[in-house]
Amino acid sequence: MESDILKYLNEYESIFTISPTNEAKKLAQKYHFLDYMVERYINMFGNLNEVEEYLYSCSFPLIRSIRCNTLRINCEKLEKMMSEKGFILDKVSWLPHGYVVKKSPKKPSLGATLEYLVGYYHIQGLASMVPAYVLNPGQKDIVLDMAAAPGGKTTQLAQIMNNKGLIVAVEKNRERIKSILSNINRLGVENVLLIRTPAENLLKTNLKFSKILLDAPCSGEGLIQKDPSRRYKTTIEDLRKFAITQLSLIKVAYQLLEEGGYLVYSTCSIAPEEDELIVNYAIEKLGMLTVNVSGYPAEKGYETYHNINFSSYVKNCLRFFPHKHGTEGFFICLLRKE
Amino acid sequence: MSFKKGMKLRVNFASYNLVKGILLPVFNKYNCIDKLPEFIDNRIFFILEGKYNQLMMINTDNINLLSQILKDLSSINFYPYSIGVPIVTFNSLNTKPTIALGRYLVNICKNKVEILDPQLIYKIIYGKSIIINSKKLYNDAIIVDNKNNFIAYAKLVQIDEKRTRVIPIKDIGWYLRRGG
Repeated sequence: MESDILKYLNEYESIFTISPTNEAKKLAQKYHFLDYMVERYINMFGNLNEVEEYLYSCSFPLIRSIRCNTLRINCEKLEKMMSEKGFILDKVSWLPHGYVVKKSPKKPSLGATLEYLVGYYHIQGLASMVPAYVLNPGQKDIVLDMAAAPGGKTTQLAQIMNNKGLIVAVEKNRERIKSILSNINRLGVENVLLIRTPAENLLKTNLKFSKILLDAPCSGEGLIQKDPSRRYKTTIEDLRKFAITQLSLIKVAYQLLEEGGYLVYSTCSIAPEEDELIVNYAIEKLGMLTVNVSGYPAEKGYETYHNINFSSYVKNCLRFFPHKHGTEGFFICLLRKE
Repeated sequence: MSFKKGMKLRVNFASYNLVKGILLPVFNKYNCIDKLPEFIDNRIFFILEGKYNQLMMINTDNINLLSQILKDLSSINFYPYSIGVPIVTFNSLNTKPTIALGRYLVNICKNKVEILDPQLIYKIIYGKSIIINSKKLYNDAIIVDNKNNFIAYAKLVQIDEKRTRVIPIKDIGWYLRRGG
């Protein structure tokens, strides 16, 4: 591990020291969570009612949603086609191509329709559509997608860019990279250069990018509804390990970004240890600036958590919660390199 | 993608004539040979040579930048996993079109069979043969739905004067079965 990252983590080590209170233990038992997790939620939400609302919301399956793929179809036509098959879609006002699936037939499943196979839509969480819109690449941009599998956001970037410009998508995992290529092919994406390597290897080249998406590997603490095992499988030490990876990756992103370029950092986790702690490093140690993002029904990033004060600029980040926004738990922050 | 010592991988820009030679058998098979020059024009192609050879097609108006990136990568012994859309795999003996190429071929090839019944289409995307009530017009065909979406490459076998068996060779159900 690089010494500056180690030094930074030592500075904020108290974030990883959690002593669950009796209230946390009781709620943890009631909702089958690890007690250290609930103690953190008490710190995050500030009142027990909201903690309970959140824990309760994790018991229900996530609302299913799709992204209409305008590279292949007009969205109104898709709505009509899906309706003829018994799928009732409801347009999400704050997402240009996002739909909630209000009603589905018994067969076929959402991932086995002909419309899915010919690439008219991609099954994607509502909040996970936000990072690509926030990065908002243009048709002349050279975009880096740093941890690209399974390709939902890569293909969404291509859609926003109308298959123009260039996306360099990087994924180190041999198995996971296959899913990116499959999605690229299915969704009619033509502007992606796909590379199997850890993103830090790009530092050996002279490459620089105008826009970077870092949807970082994370604990998935925002996806408990999708995978209930996440209620009890991640330890605080695991969160520390994720933070190390995320800090390393955001530093790599900074080094690969052009001056004046933009970086979107996102995770499918609500853990401040994986979110504000990482963005705070980019602000305080790398000198990056956060950019205010509007137009989404999201909470602001936490300036204070667990008696730790982050840079006040983390308030420009966006937080999505299932109990407040009806989405998966998600964190998104737009940063600029000066 | 880094490779162990001894493994060879190369990426090269593919010239018009080279692309034409590689695609000729496919365009011939599905009766779109007259559209081949038009298909190649204004597109950029690369050949990725490794365990097997792939012809890749990318949509970018910045070929210089793309070349520079590929040069930078190769200078540190890294190679792309894919460049745009892989459209055929080939060796000295044969050329196989990818499912992704089907999307382009449906607009230009004449050896097409349109299947209107969604139930029959679902059979094809589950890799099963179907029987259609028409005479066989060609040996190899592209199967499309009523919206001209690519469904499969297929072999056609005459059963009798009025019926033809459609045997899918490669179909979009692959995305369901193995796509991930």
